[in-house]
Amino acid sequence: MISGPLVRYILTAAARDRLMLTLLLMIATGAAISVFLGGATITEKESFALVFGASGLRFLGVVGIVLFCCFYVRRSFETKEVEFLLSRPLSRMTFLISHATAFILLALLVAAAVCGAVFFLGKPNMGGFTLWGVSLAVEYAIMAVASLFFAMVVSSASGSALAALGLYVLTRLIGTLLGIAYQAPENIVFAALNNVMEIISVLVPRLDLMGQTSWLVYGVEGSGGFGFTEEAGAYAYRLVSSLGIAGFILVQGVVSALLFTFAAAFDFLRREF
Amino acid sequence: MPGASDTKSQLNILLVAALALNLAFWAGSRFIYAKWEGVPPVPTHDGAVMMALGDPQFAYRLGAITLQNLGDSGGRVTPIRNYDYTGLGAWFKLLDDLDPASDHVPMLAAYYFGATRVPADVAVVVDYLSHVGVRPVGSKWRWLVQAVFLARHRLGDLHLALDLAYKLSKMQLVDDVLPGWARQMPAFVLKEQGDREDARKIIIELLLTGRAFHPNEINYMKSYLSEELGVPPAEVDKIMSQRHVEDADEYRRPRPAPEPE
Repeated sequence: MISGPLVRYILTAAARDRLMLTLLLMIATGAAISVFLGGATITEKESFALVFGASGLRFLGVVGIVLFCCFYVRRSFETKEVEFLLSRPLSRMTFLISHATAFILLALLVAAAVCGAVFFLGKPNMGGFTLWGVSLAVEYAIMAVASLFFAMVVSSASGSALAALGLYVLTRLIGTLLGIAYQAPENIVFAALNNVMEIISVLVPRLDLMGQTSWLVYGVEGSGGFGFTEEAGAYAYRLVSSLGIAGFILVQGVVSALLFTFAAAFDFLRREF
Repeated sequence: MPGASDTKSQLNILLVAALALNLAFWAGSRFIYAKWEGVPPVPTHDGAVMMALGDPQFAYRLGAITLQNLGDSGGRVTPIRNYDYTGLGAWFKLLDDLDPASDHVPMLAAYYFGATRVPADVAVVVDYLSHVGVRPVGSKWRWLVQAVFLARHRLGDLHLALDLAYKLSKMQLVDDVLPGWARQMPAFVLKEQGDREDARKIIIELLLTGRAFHPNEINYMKSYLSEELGVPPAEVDKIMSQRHVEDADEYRRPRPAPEPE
């Protein structure tokens, strides 16, 4: 299902792409700015640097991954590279899964670069840092596959990048939005909107539960972990108690990556060139 | 190609003209700055978290650094009396909701915003510090000490100061031991002394007996003693030499998180 040469080909293209190199430089610059901002505070300087760095670089990494994946796929379509590759003994499914694999590998590399920078920003709580790093890798992997999906279905590179970034913002806010949606509605319009939001949330990965910067400062235990809404049933409690936070994050990663990959395949297999 | 040469010289003249226009505009615009509009409106808890893309800790740090630089950025300095303390109080509450464990905002409230001489404004700071200081975790009790001091000397409310001092004296800490002088705070309040003398005693006692303070806070207290209260540097060094020696990373030790209220 996975074509090794194709994965290597995509990784080579990424290495040659100046965007990835620029991203590494921006991660270093972002880390330096965080140290500067942290140094300007009256106390807890390293906590500020850590939180500013982790939050800023987290977003920067996503922007880099989304831009690379979307523009790479759209460029491949425009230069007829996709047709050329598919003329080789390569099935469409192998083409797609190889791209997803290569993009996930790139996402893991970017996550490693961000984690390295954050590690040197301050002295993070090691348990919290480990979980934060794992969740960052999962988050980037989800966003890489989501970018592949949007690049497949939206015909413009900038349009697909904007759609992927829009999804990212939604995934980071979905917990708060659901919290608002579960409040008693003031009128029928709000009640309908709450239901619409709940339906949308089925497809939105819970990135708001990942990469909490408080883990870096106070550790996972010191940050309170996950909470539950009043509507939460036994299934929600069992999900967290049996999986733990790390397990929950990993399962979310697998579920979302599969969903976006198969959604992209659904479109790609029906497309006529 | 005389035509091309003419176009080039015309373009040069236009470029110089555009530069001259830019210079003329700059001559006036460089003295203009955006006016500070006072303490900004406080977002809701959800609003603050959403602005930080769902990360409450980032929302806290962003709000805290905004509060620290409020009105004092870009070479601008705003006198303490010009702050809207009602708005500040709401910011304190929001940031306390976002991160009840951090000591950045309490320190800012105690040592900076607490310098106001307007009683109604001091009341806002006392209210906030007493709210934070009654939490029996870590060294949060020191903010109650600051609240007692402000209530006694800046607010002039002996009853409130005594009330807070009794609260302090009865505190049972989860992971720390309340020093003897803090247990005797009611007597300290009743003793007639000047505010500078009280401030000096409190800071010295905090330095001598307080544990796990952030090194930045210790440095601030040292400079406060010598620069604000006129304690000679040699005496400050002597106090520091008597300070309880603790592991340099003691302040990083995980402590129980304050219970959500």
